[in-house]
Amino acid sequence: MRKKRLFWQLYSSNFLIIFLALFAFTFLISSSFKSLFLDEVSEDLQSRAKLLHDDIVHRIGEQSNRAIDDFIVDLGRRSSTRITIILPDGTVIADSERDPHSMDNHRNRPEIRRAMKGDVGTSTRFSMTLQQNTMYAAIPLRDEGGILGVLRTAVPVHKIEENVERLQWQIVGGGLIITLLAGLMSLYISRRITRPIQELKQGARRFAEGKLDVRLPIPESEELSDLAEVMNSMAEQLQDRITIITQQHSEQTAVLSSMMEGVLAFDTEEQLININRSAARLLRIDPEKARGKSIQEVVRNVGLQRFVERALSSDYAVEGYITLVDEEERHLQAHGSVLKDGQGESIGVLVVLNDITEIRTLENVRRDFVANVSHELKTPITSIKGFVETLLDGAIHDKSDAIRFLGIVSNQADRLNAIIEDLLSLSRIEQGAEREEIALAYSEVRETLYSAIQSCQHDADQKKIAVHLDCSPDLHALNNPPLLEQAIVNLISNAIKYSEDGKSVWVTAQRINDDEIRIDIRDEGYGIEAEHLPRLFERFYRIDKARSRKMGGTGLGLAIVKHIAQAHHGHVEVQSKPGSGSTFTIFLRTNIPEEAHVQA
Amino acid sequence: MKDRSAHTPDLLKRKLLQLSALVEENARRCVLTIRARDRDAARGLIEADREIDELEISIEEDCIAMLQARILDDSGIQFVVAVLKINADLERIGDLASNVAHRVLSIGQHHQLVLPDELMTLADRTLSMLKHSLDALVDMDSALAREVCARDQEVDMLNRSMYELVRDRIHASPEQAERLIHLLSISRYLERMADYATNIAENVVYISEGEIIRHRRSD
Repeated sequence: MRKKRLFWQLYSSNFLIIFLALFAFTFLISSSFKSLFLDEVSEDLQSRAKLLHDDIVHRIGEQSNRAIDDFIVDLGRRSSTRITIILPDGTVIADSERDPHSMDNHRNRPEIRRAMKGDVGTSTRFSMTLQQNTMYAAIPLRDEGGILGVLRTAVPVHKIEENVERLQWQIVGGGLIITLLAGLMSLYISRRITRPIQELKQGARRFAEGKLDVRLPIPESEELSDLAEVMNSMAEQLQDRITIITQQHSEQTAVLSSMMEGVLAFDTEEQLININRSAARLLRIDPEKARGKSIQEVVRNVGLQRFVERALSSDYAVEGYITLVDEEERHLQAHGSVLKDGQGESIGVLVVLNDITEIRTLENVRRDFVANVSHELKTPITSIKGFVETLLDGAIHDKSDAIRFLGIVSNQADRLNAIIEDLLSLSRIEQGAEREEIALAYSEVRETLYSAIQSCQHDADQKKIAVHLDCSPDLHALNNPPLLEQAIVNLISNAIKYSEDGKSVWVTAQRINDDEIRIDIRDEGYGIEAEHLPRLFERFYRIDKARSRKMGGTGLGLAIVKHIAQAHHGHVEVQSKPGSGSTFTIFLRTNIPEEAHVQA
Repeated sequence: MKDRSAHTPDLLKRKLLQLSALVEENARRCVLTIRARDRDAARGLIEADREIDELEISIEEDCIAMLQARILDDSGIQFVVAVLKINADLERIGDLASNVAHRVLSIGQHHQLVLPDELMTLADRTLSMLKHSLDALVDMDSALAREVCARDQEVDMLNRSMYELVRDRIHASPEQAERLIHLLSISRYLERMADYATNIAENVVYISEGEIIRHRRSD
């Protein structure tokens, strides 16, 4: 049902009351006016008749009917009243308007009958003579002898009615004007009452739209001003609460999104409720598109799907490991706990993901390292022990064998020493870099490169390999000359080792930009297959174990290079293709990068 | 999810997506295995294939139960039929991934065998097609599915050039023939995985547009 407006309710009822009151009033006034008027006219007629009474009684005795009629006609014209004289038998002897002879017997007219009985008779009816509504008043004409006849006066009622009607119209007109004025006033009053309500309504609507910063105007009337104040304070509280909630929400979002851990929330139907930035990045999903979808749609990883399932069905926090397989495997540690609402009912599950790929890799590296070190150390020791036992068992007596065996023992001891030297220097560099004990100075690099080449010259000459240096004397970089030399020596000796006789090795150094220089050690050697490249700088990583040992490598040379480069806030890269040689590049800085402190 | 039987199209879809996750994971693992020639990974992958087979059977049973219950309207039947097909295709992809793993085991960690770039490209294209066809399945994205269908030929061509490459290498070094033939098989398996990914994409189009495009390609 359509609601009525309060304004129209007020206005229409006001108007109706005014209208009914005025209508009743007008009706009463006009009807009482009419009867008053008629009474007046009737009285007047009677008085006129009474005034003529004696004169007519006197004339009836002395004059002929004819003379009386003339007198009556004259009198009637002057007083604009119809005057009639009727004998007791009903015969009309005189009439001011008509010829008495043409008139009917009037005995039965009600006013005449009454007058015959001695009273004053009045009547209002249609006159056949005058053909209109007429008011009559009749009085008996009497002398000492009794009733001589009846004197009747009459006026046409229409005149009276016209008067009354005019009066009524005036009253109605006045009434209408009053109604109109009262209506206008009522309109104004209704407006005045409803306008503040209207304003309150608009204000409340603004509140509902969330515009809580506007305040309602305070109306004059007490009830409404109370209401407005209550609503204003309600809006204020709402605004405060919304501010608090919004703030909390943005705080939570900020906390969630700045977390390193991936956080996901699922409802009991395994549909995603919330996901933070880390989780989206980790799982490579678009958070906007993913929200509200089921886990099977969002995450194509069965491990995580099962984990969520397990977390949902468990009352306790659960922990698990998940492997993501993309271009490479990534390992995640997952914690899941059931989300509960205020009533303790489960509403879903919260999953926190930690990327532990690096930790796993480090663990593996460490484990491999220990295994490798043991293995690397054991090989020469086994060999030394074997030959020493053989010597003890008697081989010592055969001089040529003994010298050969001792030579091998010495070689193996050298090898052991080389490994331990490398291990020690590796750990020195690592520790030095960690504690920032490695002194770096802004100095020229050509000298260092040159002395590195000098150190390798002997090996190079044996294989007839030419080592070329191309470096501007004024090329400077932040470096620790002994360490840098060690790295360059390692790279050059590798280049020599893995090249055929007669090839060349190039050492070139140049500036890349204001911050960095690069030192390339390029060879024309056997090259390295792509699959080995990512692991090449790991300790003891060997492409071909047998070949490496035969060449006298410790398996630590490139690891040392990597650590030296890192200690210089630089890094090392390799490019290689089987058959066409390799290029190792060390990048050095010319100034200390700002993030160095963070990295350290 | 695996143990529950699905009785609505929505649950059925979720179960199918679970299978697709397993299969995609295995496919990715099989490519990683080729790269690293890691025997342990290859064995794990063959194990995981059993799980795929079980889930495939369970989905098939659900589909049949839903069809028997006669509760589906026309589009529901169409959906379940498409799920049946995709289900079978996914299972075949899983099988092929474990076939690849078997071949990797046969090649072993033989370092002298250099993997041709074409093979790795083929593997990457196959994985990308599989990923996109499954993405299309998740979102019922027929535009993406059509893109996948269009890429099938590229993989076919790569497979053909692998054949030529292997043939030339066998001529050059006949002592490596056995291992090279394994490589060729791997290439062939990958190419067939791409074919099944295309089938899945076609079925996605079928579900979302109600149109069978399978045989239009030959036109």
